[in-house]
Amino acid sequence: MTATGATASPRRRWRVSEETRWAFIFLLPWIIGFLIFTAGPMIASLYLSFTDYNVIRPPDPVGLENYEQLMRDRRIPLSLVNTAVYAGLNVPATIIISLALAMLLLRVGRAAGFFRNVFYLPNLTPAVAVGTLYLLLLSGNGLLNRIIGVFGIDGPNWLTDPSWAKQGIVIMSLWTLGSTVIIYFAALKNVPVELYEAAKIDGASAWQQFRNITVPFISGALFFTLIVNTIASLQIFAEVFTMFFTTRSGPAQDSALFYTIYLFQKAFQDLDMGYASAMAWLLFVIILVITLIQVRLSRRFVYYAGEGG
Amino acid sequence: MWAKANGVDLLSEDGLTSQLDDPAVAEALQYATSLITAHGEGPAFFDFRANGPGGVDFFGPDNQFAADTLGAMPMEQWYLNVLASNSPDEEISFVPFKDRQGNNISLSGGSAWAIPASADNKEAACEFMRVVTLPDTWFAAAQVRAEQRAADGEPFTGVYTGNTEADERIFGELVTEESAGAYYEGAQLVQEVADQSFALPPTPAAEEFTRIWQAAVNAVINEGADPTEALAQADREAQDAIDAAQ
Repeated sequence: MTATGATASPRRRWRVSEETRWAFIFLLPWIIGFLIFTAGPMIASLYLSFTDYNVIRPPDPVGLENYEQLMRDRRIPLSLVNTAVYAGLNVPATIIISLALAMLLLRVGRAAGFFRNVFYLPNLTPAVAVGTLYLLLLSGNGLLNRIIGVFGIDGPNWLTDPSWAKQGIVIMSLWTLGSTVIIYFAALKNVPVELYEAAKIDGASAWQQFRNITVPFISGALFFTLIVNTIASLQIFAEVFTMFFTTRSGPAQDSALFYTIYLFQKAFQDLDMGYASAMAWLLFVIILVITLIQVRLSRRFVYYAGEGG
Repeated sequence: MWAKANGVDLLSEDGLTSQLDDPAVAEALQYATSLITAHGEGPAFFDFRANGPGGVDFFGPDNQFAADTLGAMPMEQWYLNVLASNSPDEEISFVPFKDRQGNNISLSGGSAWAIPASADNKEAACEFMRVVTLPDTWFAAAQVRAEQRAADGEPFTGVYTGNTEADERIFGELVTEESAGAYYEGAQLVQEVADQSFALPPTPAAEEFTRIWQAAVNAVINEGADPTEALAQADREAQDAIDAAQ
């Protein structure tokens, strides 16, 4: 009896419902893709980060040498600061402008569907095409400078002046804020209208309504887009590479040297895959820490309707 | 080129020691920068070069020479072929780059063949390399291009082979006043200065070395950095890169 009981217990533990089994079957394509194309390369890059590997010869283990070199390399802090400045400008700009556009969308009634599409369409443009487009728009005599020239402002050289390169890249990035607008628009539609009506009766101003009703109710969406846009900003690559790095030398390259671009240069131009792998893991840790801080802070500021708080 | 004209090389002969901190390099950079800043600030100059009239169509018929926005520029010889195709009748003069003593200098580079150690058929690869770089092969290829250019009504400015015998035959027989037209003088000049050329020695960190010294040059031209300090910093980075790549 005892023996039978002992063997029956583990079996019971492994029993899965048919529903769960089907769920895993449907998830299988993603799981396989994740293991082969994400988890596999991640593990490989972790190993390579402790080696000297130039693609041609087999990896040669070097211990922590790549990580020590990270501490000495002047271009690591340079590229990290460039990336942080860009993210610091881009994330708030994307959030504020997207929220403003989403609130405008709420007021246009039936036309909202049309504008939603218009705002989202630029997201479908390939990154390299966006970079090329902005080479034309941001050049000294490009459309942007001509527009601000109408107001008597002499526009800067966005593409060649190191002090304006990052601002130019932020303007380029706003091209794809459509997805954030759509998320805010959906969140705004879920804010109960009765609250605004009650607030109006109580004499609340538009700002008070926005501050005390709108923002708390869409804080989940704000938090989500904060995290997603922060990660995207820290990983931006293709557009910036197209704009500033298609030639070997460019006048504003040091200012536009973002971390992922330096990582690409080390990996695919210098063929220093071991060092590039170490760089990738440093970026992973940085993004992880930033995201954890954001998650921790969110507990104080984010309100989820389902929690009954 | 500017450093060489000032009598100094960026790298030691064995390619293992950076010489970017040589005062003569800083002096050359200071001089080259002054040629740019004489036109205004660096960023405005570079924007005009890339996006001004003719700049956008650098490889096309509306180039800066056709748009009359460029008086002179130091340029590699391949651009002569681009111009010959796009602006066949443009009147352009060509002069050699000279050092401070007045001697012609020219920088040469090129591509190399390589056979992977694990290749299945190394002998065939070797034979392929040998045959396609024979003077007769070069000449035959140049002849086809010359005929094509003639059929298209464009000047034929030669083919750069890196093979003395092939060059002599191509530039002696195929590049003529008739076939090269307005570009005859330029095409012959490229050949003449080939004898006075120098090459940067191979270095284990070639890509990084170039990127590092060019970043220093950009900092001086665009951000007003001090040439001596920028190059000293670049020298340290370049030496680290070379040492790490060995």
